[in-house]
Amino acid sequence: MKTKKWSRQDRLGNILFLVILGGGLLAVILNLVLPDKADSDTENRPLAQISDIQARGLWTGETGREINDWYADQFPLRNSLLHLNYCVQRLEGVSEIDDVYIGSHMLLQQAPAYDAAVSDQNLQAIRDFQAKTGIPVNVQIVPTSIAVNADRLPMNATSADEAAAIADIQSKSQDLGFINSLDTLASHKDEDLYYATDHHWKSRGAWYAWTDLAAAKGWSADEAAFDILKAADGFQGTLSAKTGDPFLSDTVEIWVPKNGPEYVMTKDGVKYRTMYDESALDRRDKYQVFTGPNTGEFTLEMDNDSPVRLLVFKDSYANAMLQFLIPQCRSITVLDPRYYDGNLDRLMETGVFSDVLFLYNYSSWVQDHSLKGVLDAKSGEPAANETENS
Amino acid sequence: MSFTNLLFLTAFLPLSVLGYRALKTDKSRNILLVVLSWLFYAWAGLQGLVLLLIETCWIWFAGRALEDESDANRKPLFWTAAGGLLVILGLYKYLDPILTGLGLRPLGLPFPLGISFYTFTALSYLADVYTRRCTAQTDFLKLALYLSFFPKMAQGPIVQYHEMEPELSTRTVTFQDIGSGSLKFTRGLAKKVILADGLGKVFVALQANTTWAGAWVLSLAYAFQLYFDFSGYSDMAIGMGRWFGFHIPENFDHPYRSVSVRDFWRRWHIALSSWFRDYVYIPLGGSREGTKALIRNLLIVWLLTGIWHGANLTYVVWGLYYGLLIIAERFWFQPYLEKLPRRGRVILIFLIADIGWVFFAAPDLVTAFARLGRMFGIGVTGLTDDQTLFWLRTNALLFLLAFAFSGSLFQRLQDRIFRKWKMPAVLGMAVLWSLILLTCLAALVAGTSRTFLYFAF
Amino acid sequence: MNRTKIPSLNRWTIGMIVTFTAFLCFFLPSVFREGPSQADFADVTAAVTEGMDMTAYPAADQSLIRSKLGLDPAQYPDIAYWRSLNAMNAEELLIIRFDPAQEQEVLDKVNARIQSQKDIYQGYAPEQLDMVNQAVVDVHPNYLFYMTGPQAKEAAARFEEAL
Repeated sequence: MKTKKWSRQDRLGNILFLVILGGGLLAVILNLVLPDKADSDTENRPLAQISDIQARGLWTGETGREINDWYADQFPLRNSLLHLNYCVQRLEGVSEIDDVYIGSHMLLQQAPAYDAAVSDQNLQAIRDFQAKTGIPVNVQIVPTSIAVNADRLPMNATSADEAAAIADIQSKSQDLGFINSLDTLASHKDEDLYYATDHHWKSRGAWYAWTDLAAAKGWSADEAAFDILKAADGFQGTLSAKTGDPFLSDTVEIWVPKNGPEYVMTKDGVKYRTMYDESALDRRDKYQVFTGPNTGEFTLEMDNDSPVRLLVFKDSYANAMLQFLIPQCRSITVLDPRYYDGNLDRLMETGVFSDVLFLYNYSSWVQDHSLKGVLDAKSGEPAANETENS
Repeated sequence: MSFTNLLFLTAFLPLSVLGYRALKTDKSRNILLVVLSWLFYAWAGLQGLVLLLIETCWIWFAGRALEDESDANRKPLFWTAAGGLLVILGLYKYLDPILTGLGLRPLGLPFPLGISFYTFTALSYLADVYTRRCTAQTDFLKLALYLSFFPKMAQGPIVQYHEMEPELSTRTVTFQDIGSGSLKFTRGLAKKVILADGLGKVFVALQANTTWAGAWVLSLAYAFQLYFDFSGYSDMAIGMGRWFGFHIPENFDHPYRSVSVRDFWRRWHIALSSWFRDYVYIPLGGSREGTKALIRNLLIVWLLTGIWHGANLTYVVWGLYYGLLIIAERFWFQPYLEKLPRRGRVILIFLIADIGWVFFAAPDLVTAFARLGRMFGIGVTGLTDDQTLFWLRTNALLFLLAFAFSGSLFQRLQDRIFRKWKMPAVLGMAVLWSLILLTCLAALVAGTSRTFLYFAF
Repeated sequence: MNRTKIPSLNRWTIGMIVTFTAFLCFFLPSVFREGPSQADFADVTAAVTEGMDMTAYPAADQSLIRSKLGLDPAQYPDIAYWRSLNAMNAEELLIIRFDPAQEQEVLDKVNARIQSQKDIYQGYAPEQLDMVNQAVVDVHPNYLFYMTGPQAKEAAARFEEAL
């Protein structure tokens, strides 16, 4: 055989050729051989399965997209590759991934711009609800991490002005018992009020908001009345998932009342002796230790003689706040309008509530379109219809 | 399917190459490539493939008809055939925007992938047969391969028929082909995934920025994003072509190092400007029929170039912008340009291109002029702001790399490394490029991730 | 002398004609297939409910839409649902405006609803079952009309006109 004078460049190219072919085939084999995962714990969503691919979309190209989605969702070593991407982005100097700022030992989700129209609409729905039912109402819109921890943002990073927005909401809801916790939270911000890897607040953050609520209602708020227990270490929440950050992690604390009342939580027809879902600690989303996965409605009934029967409309922030409400109330009914499909009018008739609380974080509040729909509900069907659904 | 799709990169492409190498005859290899190309195209929908097949049949019949036809009748035949292709392009690409612009209800036709590219590819075939530059292709398979070859199908480069014809019949794949092809492919992928997509995020973030600096950073981000995206895809196409034994001509030649406007267009999207030169400008007479005709021809060509890019007035303005500049350069300021130092010329031409891209990037003329105005201080809310500084600062490295690699710096560096360290350098570069490939893979996987903040089961 | 410049009719030009015909068969259906309607949602609902005795069809709220139809009202630009209060009555009316991309999913949900209604009334309420079997579903690229009721056809006609 003739010896060819191949340039070094060509040799390099041929090595790369083998890398590309080999790497590709390895990925395909792994993807097909390894069993398909049903859900992504990291991304909080179900992953595309082969069964999602339908022949119906062959003409329009939808089938091709479904195959692509399935292949990508089931790609081997997905999570490790996400971590690698994070590291490379950081090396490049990037400080923002997928709307999450990479701050100083903290991940900060950008807040949406203030949509006064949506906010006003929600407030009006609450106002009408208060007029209809005559029960005293409180509205508490709390800031998100990025507003309170703005000093940990990377230089020049910008986010919506939550302070101004919350002040505006406050000015428009004087008649609705608005509670502004921004200053309280801001003054305690070095006490680790928000998770570094998740978009929720920590129990201590919820605690300070609770002190404001208690003050407004004339209830007591004594930190010594609670045992602060560490529920878990190594919590890597939604913001870790969005960015692929493998380094930061959080501790989850629960605050259990020392002389607390016994209580029962009823959720989806099942009764629990505690609001804490321990199985969540074995999963990725450890924040779910507070009352478990989001659901439309659940109730807590306490064994004390408090006169307070509370109805709470909330997003997931309030889950951590419930710990402090439990000793204070006789019963708490918790509704999440995003998932609630029960009959509010009937609930109001049978519920005999003494107080109503609307607890939202700024982000959910300005993007929420479910609350108004639930509050404006008209009379539905009589009880007989419940059995109609299978 | 696109080149930056995980399924394509890890499954379709390696399996295609292995299949190709396993076959030994030209005919079987052509069959494989045509089947693969049709499969690639069908991924976007069978309805698109049907249209492609119709056009393939159309030009095949037309080509053979032209071949046999008497000279007198060839012209109407050619124009019927070409006209048919242009009508289809017009219907699918321009009709709905025009209807919407007139306030009428659009037809809602699905946009066929790559129709602008394959229509011009098909027209090239018809023209080459009509002018008797080539004989009509008698093998349907080879013509189908010419039209649908998947590396160049969706985003070009548009290869003229006479350039590709010999290789349709017989090809060899040498060690050099594999080597060069792989390097080009890898470089293209890195350009697209690392540089273009990265700067694309800056562009998206600063679109609504109203400061002076913000407007400039926006335009620079776009200028580099567009270059690395388009040249990246072209590099991948050319690289893949080499793996199958095709020598697709270069589409970009360091356009941001041009020394005149005409030079720029000899370096940017070379396939398109060559196509317009060979099939429109020269047939119209080019520069051989006097000044008035020359100006007319240039304006026609640039108007069409603009329109080819899309059914938006911004593209028309962009095309005429270059048309007028080229005319002005040719008749007026070329001498002045030559007096400037080389660096100065490069910077000037880059700025001219950058300003042109403002129209290219904008969704409509109002936005385009607003952004352009801000670049010159009109309508700005300040010199700079936090947002601009944030995006500029956190992407400084990307901008630097973009600027450096828009020239031939990388090639020269690599050559120097090879000369100095010989074989170990090859291994070292192989490791480096493999890491870059892994980085691209990670970025692509990250691109498919969608995290829900709220439990969405 | 034949100086007309018409190409001769040979197998290639015939091939071109056949290909052209194939193109027409492929293309024309999309011309006559309609695009999205520009009609205003409020106008459409007003037109449909005009003259109807709406006491039999009280408007339903969001939670009902979610539980009965499985549709999340937040995801569609406009949705309106009326349903009889009585569990034994199958009458209901749905008008929904959506993005053309959602067409298939909305249609699937409505068909699933009809099927579940059939299952419910099967065996013990023959007139209701009958009504469900005659339910009218009229789907357009961005509007859908579904009604179970005695005057479904007339209402559907008004819907068509309003679009």
